[in-house]
Amino acid sequence: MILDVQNVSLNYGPLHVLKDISFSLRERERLALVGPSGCGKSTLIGLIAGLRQACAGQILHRGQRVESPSRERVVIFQNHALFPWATALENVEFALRARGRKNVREEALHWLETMGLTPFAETYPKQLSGGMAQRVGLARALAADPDILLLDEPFSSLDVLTRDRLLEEVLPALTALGKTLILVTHSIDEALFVGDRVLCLSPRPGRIERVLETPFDKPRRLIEFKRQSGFLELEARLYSWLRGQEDLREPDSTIYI
Amino acid sequence: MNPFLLPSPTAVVIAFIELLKSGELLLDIWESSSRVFAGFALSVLIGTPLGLVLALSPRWRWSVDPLLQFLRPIPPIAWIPLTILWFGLGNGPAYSLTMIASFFPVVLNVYFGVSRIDPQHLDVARAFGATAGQRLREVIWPAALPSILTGYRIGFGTAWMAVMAAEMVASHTGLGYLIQVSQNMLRTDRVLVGMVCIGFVGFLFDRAFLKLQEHWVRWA
Repeated sequence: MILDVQNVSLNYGPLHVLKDISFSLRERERLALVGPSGCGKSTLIGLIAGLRQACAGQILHRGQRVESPSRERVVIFQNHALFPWATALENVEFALRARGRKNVREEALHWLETMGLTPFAETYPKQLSGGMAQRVGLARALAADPDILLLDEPFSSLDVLTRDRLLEEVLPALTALGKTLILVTHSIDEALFVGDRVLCLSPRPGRIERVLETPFDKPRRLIEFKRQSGFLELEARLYSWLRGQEDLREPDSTIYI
Repeated sequence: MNPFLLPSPTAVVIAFIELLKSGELLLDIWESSSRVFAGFALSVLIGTPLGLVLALSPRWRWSVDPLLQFLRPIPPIAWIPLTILWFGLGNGPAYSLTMIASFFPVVLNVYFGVSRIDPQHLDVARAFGATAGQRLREVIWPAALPSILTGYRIGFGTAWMAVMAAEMVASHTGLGYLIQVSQNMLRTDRVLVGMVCIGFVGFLFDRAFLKLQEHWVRWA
């Protein structure tokens, strides 16, 4: 097991954010984490990254207790968190220099090329579209060569077409590199397409309600993936589970006509 | 109107040409500018690291900030008597006054710029394994640079104002002295030449800072 999350709980004062979360991650596995807003998905990613500490339980990464952030567990955030003062190339170079590399230019260009960004090397983040910026974020994360890639809703601010293209181009690259990853998402098709397993988190307190294995082939294109038999049933089941979670806990959301 | 109270533009232009020809005006501009640069450089050298430390260390903030905020309302002119006593007439009071005037804008803007860095950028740097030196050079400094340069620009402007006060009281050269001595000699036309020069040279310096800022902070 590459990652072991053991009975992790987190409270903010009286508020139980996460309760008794346990799961583990195999080498090269892709795990998707879904749940309604506010169920603590991003918080859990922060704990795994070591950006914050759990109140109870522990997280082991290759047997080592996670206590601080590490290059081995890099997070890709929804808002990409690129350095606005650095060009795409310089952003990637930073990750390489932080690893202690010298003469980073060639290697940085290589990572940009992997993400199809060669023409944008000298571009500043504010000049990039959301999809392009997220690619730079991915290139920077890959340049850090992490053991586990933590994707915290990286595609949720993109339009569907951009997201689909990004998924179809990025996933094969990640597979080729043999990356282990955890993807947090609101999107059911994204979770099923990316995840070998899908973990469903319920809100307040966040706890694992069910774990789904995705019994599908993984063709390159999302549209082919969705055409497989059984996909619609699974999508519908997940959808109604998510809706059920929301409706039960948010009575205000009822609309009277 | 009485030309003594408000001289005509022609009279001012004539006085300007006169002072320019004698070389007096250029010398005064040079003297004032060099004093401002000296005091401003001191402010930058001391104020920049202090601003960084204040932003990064709660302990320093807790102990130094009240002192800073206590000294800040004391205007530069109020320091003139002491600085004359300490350094005598001449450059000493001018250097210390320009430094005092530019110090607070520099420190406070560096402090402001560093303390409002997006914590996510620091998380990223930490997670990627960047050393403290790398974080300072490649994240904190560039992230705070727009505010830092704004602080320098404002600080230089306040130093330019302060040097005039210092020269009116404690010096025998400079644009401030020109105004003061012209008033004593009832040469209002020369007073106006001095004022216009202060405004114009100050404007040129500000434009230069603006250009530097645009060049260094292209990404914003």
